[in-house]
Amino acid sequence: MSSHTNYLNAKKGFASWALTIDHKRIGLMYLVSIMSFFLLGGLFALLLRTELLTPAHTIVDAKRYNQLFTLHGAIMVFLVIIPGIPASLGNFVLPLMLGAKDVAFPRINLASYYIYVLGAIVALSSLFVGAIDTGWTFYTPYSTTTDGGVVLMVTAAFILGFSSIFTGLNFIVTTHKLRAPGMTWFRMPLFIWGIYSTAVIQIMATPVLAITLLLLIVERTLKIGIFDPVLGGDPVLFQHFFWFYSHPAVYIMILPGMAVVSELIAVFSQKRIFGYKQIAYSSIAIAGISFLVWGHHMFVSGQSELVGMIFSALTFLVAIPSGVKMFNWLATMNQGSISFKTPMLWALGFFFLFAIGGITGVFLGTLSVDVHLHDTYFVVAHFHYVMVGGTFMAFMGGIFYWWPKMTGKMYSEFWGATSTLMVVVGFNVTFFVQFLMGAQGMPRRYYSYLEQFQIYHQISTIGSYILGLGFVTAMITLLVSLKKGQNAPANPWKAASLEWTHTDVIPIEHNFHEQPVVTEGPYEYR
Amino acid sequence: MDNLKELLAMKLPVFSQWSWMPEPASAYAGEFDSLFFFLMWTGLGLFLLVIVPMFWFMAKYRRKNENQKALTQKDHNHLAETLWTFLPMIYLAVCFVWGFLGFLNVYSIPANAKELRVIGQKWNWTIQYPEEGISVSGQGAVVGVPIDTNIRLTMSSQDVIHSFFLPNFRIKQDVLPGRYSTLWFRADKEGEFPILCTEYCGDYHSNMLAKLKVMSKDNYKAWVENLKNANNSLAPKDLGAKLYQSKACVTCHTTDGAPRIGPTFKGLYGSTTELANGSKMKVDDTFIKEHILTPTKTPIKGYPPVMPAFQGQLSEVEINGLIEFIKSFK
Ligand code: HEM
Ligand SMILES: [Cu+2]
Repeated sequence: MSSHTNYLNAKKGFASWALTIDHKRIGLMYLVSIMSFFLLGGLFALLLRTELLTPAHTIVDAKRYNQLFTLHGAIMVFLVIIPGIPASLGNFVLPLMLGAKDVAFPRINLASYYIYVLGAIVALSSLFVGAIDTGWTFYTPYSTTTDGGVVLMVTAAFILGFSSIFTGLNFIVTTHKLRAPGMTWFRMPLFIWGIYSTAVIQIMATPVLAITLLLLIVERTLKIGIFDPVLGGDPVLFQHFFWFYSHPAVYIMILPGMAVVSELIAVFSQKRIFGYKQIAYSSIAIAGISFLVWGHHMFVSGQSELVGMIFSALTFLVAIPSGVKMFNWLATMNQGSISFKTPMLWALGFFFLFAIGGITGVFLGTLSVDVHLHDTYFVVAHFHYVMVGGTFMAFMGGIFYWWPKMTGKMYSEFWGATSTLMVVVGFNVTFFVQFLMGAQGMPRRYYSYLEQFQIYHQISTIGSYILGLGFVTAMITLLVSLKKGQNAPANPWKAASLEWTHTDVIPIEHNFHEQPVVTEGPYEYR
Repeated sequence: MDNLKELLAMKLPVFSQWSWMPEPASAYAGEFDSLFFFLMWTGLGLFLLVIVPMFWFMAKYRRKNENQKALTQKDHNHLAETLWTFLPMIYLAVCFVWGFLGFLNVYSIPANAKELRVIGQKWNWTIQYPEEGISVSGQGAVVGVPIDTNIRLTMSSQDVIHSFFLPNFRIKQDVLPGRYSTLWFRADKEGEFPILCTEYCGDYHSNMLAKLKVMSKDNYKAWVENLKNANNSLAPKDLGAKLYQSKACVTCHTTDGAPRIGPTFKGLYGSTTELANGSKMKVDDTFIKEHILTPTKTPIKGYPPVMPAFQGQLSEVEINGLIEFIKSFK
């Protein structure tokens, strides 16, 4: 192997990475950055959970607590989950899967990475100006009147939006233009369909966020009344704008997760994916409907009953394509040849947790029930089940799946499996009790709480330590494999898509020795 | 802060530690619970519907040797696909209609309701009783209401968005600056029920608590009379001490010299203070009164401008009480 050149060893030195336009290297750089921010965001989460061990002061004061949950949320949403799968795995895998040499605009791809880094620096520099304490949702007029680095954090989100748009644009054009000969739309792996739908949302919704955040900055700095009633603005307008982006954004977060899981379930069952077209179209359907449900975050904000009704109905509509995917994955496993390698364990974990996340979403979409549950820990639990239990589990599964292709190394299956188990157990201990306390009336974003909730908070905190340890174990497993891992074969999972069948163990700089020609679908296992 | 300790020790009536819902205190809450438990049991059913087959397939079709192939490569079944697209629609339609009916109930206010006005501000609630001519306020304020009476709340905020949440009644509504929102309920159980703020509003968001006290109609009358008499007969300093708690001065000002968000009251009266613009002022009766009513006119150097204005919320008697209270900390 060492005699071969590949994308990792073809060029050496810092500049060969910093200035690379190779989508695979850019994907890896994203992966390392995103995982670093995940660890930082996770550290904040553990501090938060530790503070909540007692209703009064445990380790930090109220102000610091509020800053911590804001930073945790903002980092996890803007720096981890939204770029997450598309920017790292998508970048690495998408051109390979399509049989292309690179993405359509490699330089824009590199630019998107540096914009991401710039956004991250601006976000973290807000820490030094006085950390922001608005929550990641920046609701006005709180955000226009509180002190601290609001403008910086908002600017960061604004900058990060461009990174997201660049990546989305690149993927759309690449998918349209650079498919290998014979790669028809319905011979594309479902991963591509998912990433493609995500990209559509990214380029359509992100500009709305950008404008909203700009208006917020204008109001804060120039005192022009837009959202603050004291200046003549409308406080709820911000929420409409914000969720018009941020609801589609939750599908920017989950669609790539579903995309990864579709690959994993098929490959590790060695069975053609069930209902290919239904899954592909359901991604598009989700992308479309996701623009029409934002009002379900505002059922108690004083919007009219009619509006509430419409948003509730549309919200239920979006649940259907998600459910369809679940059934299709199940049917794929039926009569398959199921192997429990680490990536599949993450996918099964996803299946388990996302089912709970989706079902509790139905509670929240039900109008009267949401009135009671809104802004309680029930919502906190729901979105962690979908974002961490769903997206992040899938992300981990994807990393373990494509790891041999990225690095040429196999990791310890034992430690891979152990870490998955720790995460699933830790996750449920942390978040399941939050449904219970939320239903009982424990509001979110509370520094202190009524004494009767203490037992739930303590269980949750213990769970979070297990969860944290699980993720750290997973990462150590991967890092150790770089040094100690066995060399991987070119197609360790017997997959049938191009990135495994037509490349070297570690792909060369231009991916393929000769242009692959596609004659059949991506799930033909034999 | 003993006040705070007491608040946090407040109990939210629940059936038992591990039950899903707090004890219902209105007929609506009972109806709500039927829907909640419907979702809960059908949700559990749905969960099992996907998870049991998952484990079943995992066991039955696990790969026993490296080269084992899938038993089939069949990848569609028209009937199954149609069923799992349309059956959920029916289920979701039921949830939707049921939820919508409950929602209408929460927001359709009966015409004959007794009106209370609610003002949210960082970080306490003020509830005014137009009919009785009384008001209660402050962290931990006790909000008395008569049983079996439709109560309508007309709510607004003095600063940022808050949200008025009564878990035992399963209702909440955002409280906005610059516009009025409404909510109603009809308590059918005597007892004390927490009022919580559920829209994040800053440092002491989680201390923005009050207590709804549901009383028999007679007890309610007596409670109102008591409240009316209480303030007039207090010594000024004691009235000030009471307001110091109920108007939540205590969240930012200490009386023992320790720093908090605002200046301490210890040694304040008669001292000289520096304003944000650099000018110096003597802290006398006039200064204190003006600063309580409109703090933004005389922002004090070195402190964040977060103190709420009490203009229109304090009578002359009450202001005198506060001045005497502050004076007492030499
Ligand atoms: C079956 C599908 C789903 C349904 C019916 C659903 C429904 C809802 C509803 C109605 C709310 C608003 C609750 C409230 O604020 O009171 C909500 C909140 C939320 N959902 Fe979902 N959801 C679903 C799936 C997802 C997915 C896939 C994600 C993300 C990957 C997601 C992420 C979130 C987030 C982040 C929030 C909370 C936002 C916040 O309050 O900060 N949901 N969901
Ligand atoms: Cu509040």
